[in-house]
Amino acid sequence: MRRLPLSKPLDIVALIVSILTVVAVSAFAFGDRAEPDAVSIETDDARFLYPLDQDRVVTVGGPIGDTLVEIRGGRARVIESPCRDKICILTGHLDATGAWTACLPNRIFVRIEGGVVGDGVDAQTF
Amino acid sequence: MRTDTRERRLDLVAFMGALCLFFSTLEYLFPKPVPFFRLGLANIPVLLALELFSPGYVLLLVALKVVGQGLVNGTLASYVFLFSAAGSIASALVMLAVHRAGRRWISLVGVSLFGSLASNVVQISLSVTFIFGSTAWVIAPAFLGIGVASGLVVGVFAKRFAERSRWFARMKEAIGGA
Repeated sequence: MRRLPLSKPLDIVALIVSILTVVAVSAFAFGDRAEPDAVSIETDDARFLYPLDQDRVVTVGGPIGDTLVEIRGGRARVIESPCRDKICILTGHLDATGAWTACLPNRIFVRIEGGVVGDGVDAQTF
Repeated sequence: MRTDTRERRLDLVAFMGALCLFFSTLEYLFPKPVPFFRLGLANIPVLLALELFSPGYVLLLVALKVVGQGLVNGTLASYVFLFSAAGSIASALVMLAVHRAGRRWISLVGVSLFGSLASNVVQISLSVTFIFGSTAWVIAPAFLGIGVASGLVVGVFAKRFAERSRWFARMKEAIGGA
């Protein structure tokens, strides 16, 4: 006789617990709903923050070479990377708070942040 | 007579360790849309082992699996190996516990889901603590989500196999079951 895969009560409990964990962790990770206003670029030993409203191309060095991140028109994307798979480039444009891409071989992590500009800087001098 | 069964069990553990190695290799067939994606096919022998062996033999098999995967993936000498070892051991302990506690209430599908969850939670905690800092949280939902899906697939496969395989039934009989 053919039986359903989730035939026993604790199987269903296991599935529910698993899904709840995913939902809880998602809420924790993407709970930040502030308007996107900055790009955070992290390397092994430093973290750089760039405002999202100023167009530029940032060159970041990692263990296997330089990764180029383009910020243009309120969006950011990786345009060049020395890695093999180019997953970071394939991710395409990032424009929502919490959106991210990473180049694992080059240990570079790009993420859109919200609510940073404005309360992140006390004063600016030119 | 007793030593005979013991030897058979060890033989079978060794064989299933080899199966883990084979499944780890087989994973290369599947495309990797994201770097941390893994189906976890090598957990199938471990799930089956829960039905066959006492906890000591299951842990022995997990040790073989961890070392085998390290060899196949080339991570044996890197920190990734520690992640994988910690995940596998946590998942084995959880699976042993739930499998023992609720045999009437839970099938290999649920056991697999709990095991996958344990392994992923441990690995995420480790990466938050030691490697990537709080940025690892951003990767966590996808990582866990994939874990649920693959845990389900692997669990259903193991369950079907345990129910239908004549080889499995013969082995179970030969070594007396868990």
